[in-house]
Amino acid sequence: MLKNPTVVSVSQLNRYVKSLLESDHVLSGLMVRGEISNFTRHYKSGHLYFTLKDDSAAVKAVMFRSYAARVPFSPENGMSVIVSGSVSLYERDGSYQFYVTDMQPDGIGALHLAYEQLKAKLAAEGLFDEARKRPLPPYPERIGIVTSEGAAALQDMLNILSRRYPAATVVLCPAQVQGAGAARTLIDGIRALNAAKACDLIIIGRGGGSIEDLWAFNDEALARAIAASGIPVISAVGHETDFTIADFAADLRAPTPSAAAELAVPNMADLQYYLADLGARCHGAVVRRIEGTELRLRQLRAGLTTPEGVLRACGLRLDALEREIRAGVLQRLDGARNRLQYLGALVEERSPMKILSRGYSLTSADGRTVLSAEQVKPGDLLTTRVADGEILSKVTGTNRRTT
Amino acid sequence: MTKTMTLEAAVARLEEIAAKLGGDVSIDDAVKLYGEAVKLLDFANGKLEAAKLKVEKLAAPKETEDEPV
Repeated sequence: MLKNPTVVSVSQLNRYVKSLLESDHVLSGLMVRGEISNFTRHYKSGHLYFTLKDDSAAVKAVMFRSYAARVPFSPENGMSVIVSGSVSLYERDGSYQFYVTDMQPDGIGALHLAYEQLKAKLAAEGLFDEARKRPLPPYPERIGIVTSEGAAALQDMLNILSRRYPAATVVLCPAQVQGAGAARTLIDGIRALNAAKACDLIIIGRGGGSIEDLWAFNDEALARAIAASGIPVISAVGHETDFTIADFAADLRAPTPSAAAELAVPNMADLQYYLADLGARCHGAVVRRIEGTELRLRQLRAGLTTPEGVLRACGLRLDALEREIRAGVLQRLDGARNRLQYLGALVEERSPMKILSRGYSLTSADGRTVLSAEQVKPGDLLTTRVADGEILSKVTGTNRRTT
Repeated sequence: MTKTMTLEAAVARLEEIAAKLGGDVSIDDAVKLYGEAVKLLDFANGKLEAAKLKVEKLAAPKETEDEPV
């Protein structure tokens, strides 16, 4: 204790106040709600410095690196948080500060916030872009599985793979799928499979659990390892409703480990059927090709075995052609002749002279053919043509036939 | 046909041969291609028939500390 009126140094004063603050029961462990402002993460030390404030007051706060590393989300200016810690004095400045040991987002869960922040960050980087996704091999020969060795999820996958596609080989890479260090072992698994070129497809996953259980699959480094994998990756974490960062980074998200096994391989029966079909197509095409060639050969052989045969075949063909041409021409000539005869007969039949020869005659008066009794009167001169000449006569009277 | 032939490559080649045979090829080529197809089918069916899922374990990898988490 200082005695009045002892003069003390500034350092002594600050040290004294600091000791008072640190010995206070309330100030040595309390929680404070406030909004973050003036936030900085020291680039070298990794300590967080910020101001906590409400509507009318503010207090400086610091969170050392060892504590800051345990905060899953990234604190930001304007974020409402609840911090735990103690109050002390920074002797150099004589200012009192809140020394933060834990930080929770006010309102939503820390993990949920961290998840959303990481998802937004990696999405902005393009890590989840569709264009980055690699196609899966249609008939994988070796399938790497990174998961917990004793888990039911692994057994489910092995059962489905051996039922659907027993031709494959599974390369198991045992990993821890929850708890501290789990992300590390998952990353190691992916890298080891890539380094050994051990497989042509990787399934990484685990069965269902709480958000904390699945947390390793929301690790940033794991997401980057998945994206960097040279071998396509299917992620299969938890149940259908669980989405993890690993799911977004993977080439394909399977809703469950069992679904991943279904998606990873074709059904062997389908493949066998397809192979049989391909075989039948090849076989049919070749048989048709050979039969066609055989037929052509037989046809050629039939006529063209010797030079004489070739000549004979050509001669026969020429004869046949000549016959055809001749017959054609004659037919045309005959046709023309027949038609002429017919027309001649027709003309002859219709000739007036022909009619006269049958006893009919043609009478005219003044050069006009007489067609009616009324056309002439007594005394008119008529000229009547018969087959062999003309008769001249004079009309003595007319009688008109009444009908 | 080599030992490194994969089922995927075999199926792809079979598809190619089936397409070629369905088109215009000489009889010599057709017979050659058919011979290849028969071998590929034997290979592929051999891989699938009587297969039993094999499970290998990759030796536990060393911790890689090359990148900060």
